[in-house]
Amino acid sequence: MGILGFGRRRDADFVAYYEARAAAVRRTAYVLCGDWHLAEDLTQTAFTKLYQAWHRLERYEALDGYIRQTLLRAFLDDRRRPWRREYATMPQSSVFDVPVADHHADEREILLAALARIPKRRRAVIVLRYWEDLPVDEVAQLLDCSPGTVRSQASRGLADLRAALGDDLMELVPGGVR
Amino acid sequence: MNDVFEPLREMPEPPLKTSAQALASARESTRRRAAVRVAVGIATAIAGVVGIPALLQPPPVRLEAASPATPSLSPSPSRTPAPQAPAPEAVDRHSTNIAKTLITAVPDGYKATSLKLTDYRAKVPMTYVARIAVGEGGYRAVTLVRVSAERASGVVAAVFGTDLPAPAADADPCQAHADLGIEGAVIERCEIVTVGGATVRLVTGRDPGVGRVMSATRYLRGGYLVVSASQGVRAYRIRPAGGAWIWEVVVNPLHERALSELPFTADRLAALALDPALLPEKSSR
Repeated sequence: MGILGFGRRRDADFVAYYEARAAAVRRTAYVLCGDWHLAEDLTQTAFTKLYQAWHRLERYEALDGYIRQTLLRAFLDDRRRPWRREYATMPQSSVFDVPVADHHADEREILLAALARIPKRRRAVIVLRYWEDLPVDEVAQLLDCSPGTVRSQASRGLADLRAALGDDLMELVPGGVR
Repeated sequence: MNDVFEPLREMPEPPLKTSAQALASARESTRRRAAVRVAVGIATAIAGVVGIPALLQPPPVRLEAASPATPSLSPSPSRTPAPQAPAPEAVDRHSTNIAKTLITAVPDGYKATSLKLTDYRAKVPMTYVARIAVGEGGYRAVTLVRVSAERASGVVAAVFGTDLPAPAADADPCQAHADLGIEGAVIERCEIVTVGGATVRLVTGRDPGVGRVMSATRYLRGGYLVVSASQGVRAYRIRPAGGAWIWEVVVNPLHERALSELPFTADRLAALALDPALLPEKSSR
């Protein structure tokens, strides 16, 4: 196949993969960072890296692992964030990012606030293990650490989550954390 | 443990970027990466001939009338009184005119349009021109205009605020929030100029994400007005975080090519900061 043919096929495959997986990738990004704008930035970053590496990824199954890895790297690397924190003021009157009202909003806010208090790398372990439901070995591979580190980080992350949620944990999960 | 995440699994989501948009962004990023590789090769070759210091030296800033002494930026009774800082509602009402004034001031050869959130957050409708956050310490309002030429884009912005005090009469104005309006930039030069009896602080710098940036700050009574220009696209957003509002600067979110040079010279930017058309009528006196 010529270069032109490869380019067209890559674009078509990329579009198909994006349409199949982008929403899920962005949801994971959102659980990691708690911000839809940043989640979209992270998702675009991950898919752009994927696009650039497409010719090296021979197997379709490799795409999920690659997109997860680039997403995690972008999330863990503050320098890749296009947004920079500037300064804070107390809210009084103007709101521009209009929130969407729904009955789970309070629970989500509690949970996201609790996650945000967990260190980023530990949070990544929690999200990969319990949001993405990935096995320990795969999490270890994605984060480039040992399975033992993943287990200890997951344990500490859960303890952090319990401490951060406090009584709210019971509200979210009748019977506590499984 | 999975149950803890149930509220998040059912959450409503904003519209996702379309595959065509994602593909276009990925292609553009790939194209730019290839272009940067070529540019780095060329720059390295030039550096070998003319020396790196010559490449690092910023181009001179032209000033209309630089004051040798450091004058006070606080309103001075011996000069024309500084206008009163407008109320945020007045900025909001006047924001279309602010944008028009900025657009009109853009030199020939550039295209200028009002920059709104929809420009970089597709499908999120925005109705405002100025973005305003009001807090206990005052407010800050930003009006942004995109300046384009030859498929490259930069920004000119007007920032009104009452959240930061003017420097004290005996203070060095260049030590007080010198990066106001060009937050995140590495400051290279700060000077005080006087134009028509009014004092303007001119700050130039370089932002790793957008190239050269420049701000012209005019302190008003009870606030300030900053007009800034940047080679690349930079914008603001405000988001709630932990009971406070966080101001953030976005740096080239669409990975656009930056203008080859700043669209304004220092003197034109200083003059623009003093343009009475930027001020809502009740405060421009």
